[in-house]
Amino acid sequence: MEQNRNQPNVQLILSGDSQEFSKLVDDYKNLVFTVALRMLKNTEEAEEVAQDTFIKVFKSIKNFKGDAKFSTWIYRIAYNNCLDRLKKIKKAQKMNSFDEISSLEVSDLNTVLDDIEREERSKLLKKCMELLSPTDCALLSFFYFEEKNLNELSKILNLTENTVKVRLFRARGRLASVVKERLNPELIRNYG
Amino acid sequence: MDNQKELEGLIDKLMASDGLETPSSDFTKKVVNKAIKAKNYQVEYKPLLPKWILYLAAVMVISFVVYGINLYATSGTSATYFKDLDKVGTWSSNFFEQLNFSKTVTYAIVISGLMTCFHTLVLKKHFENRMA
Repeated sequence: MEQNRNQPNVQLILSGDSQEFSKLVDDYKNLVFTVALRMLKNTEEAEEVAQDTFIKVFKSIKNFKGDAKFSTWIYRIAYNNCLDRLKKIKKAQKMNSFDEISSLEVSDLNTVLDDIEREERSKLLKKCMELLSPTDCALLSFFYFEEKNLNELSKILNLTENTVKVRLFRARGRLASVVKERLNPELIRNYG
Repeated sequence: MDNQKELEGLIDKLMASDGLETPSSDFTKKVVNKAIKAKNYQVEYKPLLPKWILYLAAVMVISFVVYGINLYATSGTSATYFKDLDKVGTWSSNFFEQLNFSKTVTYAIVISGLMTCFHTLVLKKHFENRMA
């Protein structure tokens, strides 16, 4: 699902080429906005934070050293920006407790999901994501929509690779648990 | 391990059914406009003191000089003018001589200064790292 994009010409952006900067914004806006929306759970806030992220990118592009991927650098700014906004609006990170999901339940859910239409699955996912903590949402979004690379993810989230691996496993478990809770238990039983 | 693989498969399937969200249609335009504004703001020169204060200061200095020259011209000596100026110098030196700090206060001031400098460096590095 990673998007194809070219490395932006930093020199052109620094010289004030607004076309080049527009291209950069177009390339990254969807994922930046998606992560902001999943973390903040509010469209207006997410749009504002996403815009703010690109302004920060513009202002500090001269500091981009090139030792990390450009996308990683932008996503790190976006992630930190979202955390700052969460602190500012004092939105506590949701830490709901979820029941552990057994191997059998995972298997049942897999069967049920196969029979649910894609559009319905997408709706279900969106609803379930709302119940996850902002960091779980960021982790899953970055992993599935962009990198699928623990090393880059660890740079974005400023964590070690092992920590990212563990957190990703837990986030998957929590998401599966929420899906199980949201799906009609009878439906699962019928399929199981 | 099997459970982990199965869980991975389940979430892969679920996430594959979802796409990226899109911001408002004029998102890029808004960002570029804001960036241009930010750039112009950076370049814009804004003097620390407004012009009228600079003019006022210039007028005061010139009047002071003219007053001094007039005084010198009428009395034929600069003595009174410079005596008045000396008074200001004496007062300020007397004022600083009267100030006495204990050693503890002096050390506290020096350490606070050092800690402020250290804190500034740490904060600067922290914010640079966040942006880099």
